[in-house]
Amino acid sequence: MTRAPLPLRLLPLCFATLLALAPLFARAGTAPDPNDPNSPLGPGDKIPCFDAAQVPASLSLQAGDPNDPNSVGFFSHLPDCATLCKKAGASCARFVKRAVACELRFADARASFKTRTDCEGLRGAALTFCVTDNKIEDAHIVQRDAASGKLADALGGCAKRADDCTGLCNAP
Amino acid sequence: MRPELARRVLVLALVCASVLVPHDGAHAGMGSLYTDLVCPVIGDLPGEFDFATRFVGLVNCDRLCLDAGFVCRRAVDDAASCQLAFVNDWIASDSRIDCNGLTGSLLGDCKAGWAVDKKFWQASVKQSRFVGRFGCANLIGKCATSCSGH
Repeated sequence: MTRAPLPLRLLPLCFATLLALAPLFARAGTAPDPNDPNSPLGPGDKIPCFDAAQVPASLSLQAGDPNDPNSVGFFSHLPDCATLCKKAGASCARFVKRAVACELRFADARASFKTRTDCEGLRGAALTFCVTDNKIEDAHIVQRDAASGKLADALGGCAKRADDCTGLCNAP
Repeated sequence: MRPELARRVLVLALVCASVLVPHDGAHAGMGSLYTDLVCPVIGDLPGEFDFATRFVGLVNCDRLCLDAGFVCRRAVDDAASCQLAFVNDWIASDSRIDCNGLTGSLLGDCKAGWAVDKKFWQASVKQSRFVGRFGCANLIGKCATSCSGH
């Protein structure tokens, strides 16, 4: 009986290799979920931080009903109105920074726990491969970017609210 | 209702809201520096973590439980720190408006009233922090129990 040609003999080996690598290719095509649904710390969409984007909207700086067109500024009857408006804006900015810092810290914690659970016991190149293969660093970057991305807008929101407040200082 | 009493009721309502009400609820028209709490609700925090059975079968299960508990505790402490800062800003601003124009003993009484409110509010936050830390410790206990297979 004659032996099959070499390429033909290697065919089953190629199929087996492709089959083994299939999950890797499948994962490579998907973007990391910023909510990290499999986070070892807990449910993916829950994070123990206040949403920085919501901070400026919570800054009232208006006395009475904000929907009332005759509503006056919160500090408008005070002589140091402008200073107080500025302080309120600074307070808002501090809470925005706290919220973003919290999200950044939690993104780091998630990545750390994901590495410690999914890649437990691995060292060196094997650890690097595991972190890459499980898209741990990719997810980490996405989560950090999502948190950092809120900073500029939210700080801008605080500054605008403070400016609006100052604008009402001299209102009748 | 007396202004002082009204203020205390308001502060109490805010503290209760910080524990019970989700932070996305708005209280528009309250006439204060903030319409809503801008910090995580401490009472909700341990519920954001769900690691009790996530480390089962891992060599460092106990260590992971402990460290995850520290992350939880850190979140509770940060939230409490945020709320204490919120109390400071809120009271400083609202008392400034409330006591505006007063002089002498009236001003003293006004400031003293706000100081009492502030202490009461701070104590409530610290109490929430204690409960939150307990919640995190409870999670560590459950997690460690899962590790040992009991």
